[in-house]
Amino acid sequence: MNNEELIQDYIANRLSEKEKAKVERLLETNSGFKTAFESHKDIAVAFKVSEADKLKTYFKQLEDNPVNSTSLFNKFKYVYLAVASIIAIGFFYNSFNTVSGNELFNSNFEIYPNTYQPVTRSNESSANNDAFVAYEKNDFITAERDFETLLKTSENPNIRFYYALSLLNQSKFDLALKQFEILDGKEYDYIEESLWFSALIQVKKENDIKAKEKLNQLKILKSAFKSEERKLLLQKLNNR
Amino acid sequence: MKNTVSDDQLQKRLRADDKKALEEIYVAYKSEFINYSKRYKIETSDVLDIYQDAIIAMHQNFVMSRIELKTSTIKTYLFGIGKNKLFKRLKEKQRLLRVEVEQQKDEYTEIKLESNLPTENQLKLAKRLNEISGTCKKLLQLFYYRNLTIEEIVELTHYKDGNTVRSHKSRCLKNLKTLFKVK
Repeated sequence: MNNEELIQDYIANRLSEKEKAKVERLLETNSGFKTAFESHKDIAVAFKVSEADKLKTYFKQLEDNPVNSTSLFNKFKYVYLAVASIIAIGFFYNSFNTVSGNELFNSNFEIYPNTYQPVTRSNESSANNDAFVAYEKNDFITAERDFETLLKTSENPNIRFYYALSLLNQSKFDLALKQFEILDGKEYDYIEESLWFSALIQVKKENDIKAKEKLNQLKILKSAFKSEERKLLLQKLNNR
Repeated sequence: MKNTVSDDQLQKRLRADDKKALEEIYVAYKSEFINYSKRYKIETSDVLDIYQDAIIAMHQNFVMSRIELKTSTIKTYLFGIGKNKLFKRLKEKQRLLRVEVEQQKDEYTEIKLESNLPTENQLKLAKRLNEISGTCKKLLQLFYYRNLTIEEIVELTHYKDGNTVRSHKSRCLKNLKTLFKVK
């Protein structure tokens, strides 16, 4: 067990008394271990803060849109309304089904930011840095070229993801999709994002079945990424 | 008080960070908590704020410390946390004296959860969490927030084994730390 896991077990109260004493001794005598412990705690608290903010917003929204129907009358009233809405929506979609793949793509697509390698302009120029500088400047032609060069010397799936995005951001949909397909089954930092963008490309190409496959893969991963957007997109695809 | 099966199941769902279970609890006890707090003469908007904070604190204690309530129910636990937060609010408003008198009649035991304010660095780090990839954020959250072991993470995700999780986690952590240093 490495130190990180030992610290986690200590915080989660999974250690025996003897092991706990060992951790406490390390905290007193080993400065490296203490730093690692503080760092672990900082990240845990950061997640706690971030999750608490999300929950607070969620509860506020719940209060803004309360569901107060408790009587039988109200319950049935909503059932009737729901049935009527389904019929109306069904009629609407059958009669005026005009939402194209292109429209769905445009309403869901946004340029994904550089989250892989923060650009450090004060540092010495490196090929990696140059590619991401170009990406951040929305100069996707240069970014495509630079990422392609990087991939020739070393296969890094995270770089390939940004190469695919550079293509996608220039509307080179088939080429981008090809890159996302190469990434299938690999372990890297942007698996969920790749599935989302692949689904969007398939939507644009009107390949609803393949798009739904990608969205369902995200569901299997229990991904929180774009969870609301995914749900809506899937609903729209199912209604087409 | 002995727990019912459904209370135990709800606890299990809370430990698994199930937001739907949390919503069920929120809705189920909200009116009762608002009624309960009337004895302390606090504004309803404040009470709602306190109730939400209590629910969040309770949930995070289930998720992070993976607690199991053996002798109390979710309701008594929640109200105990809420009571502590009500007192804290009253103390802020300098109305403590009356609270101490009222406290004797109460059926809920006050529960104080650790509530150190986050440091400036921790708050900055919380912002950076939104800037890493979704895949990284999820993995780090499972390890640092939910305190799942590497083996549990393998079971819950698509990673093929513990070593893959470890190496991916280490890369994500490095990425987060770089972001933190740069910005």
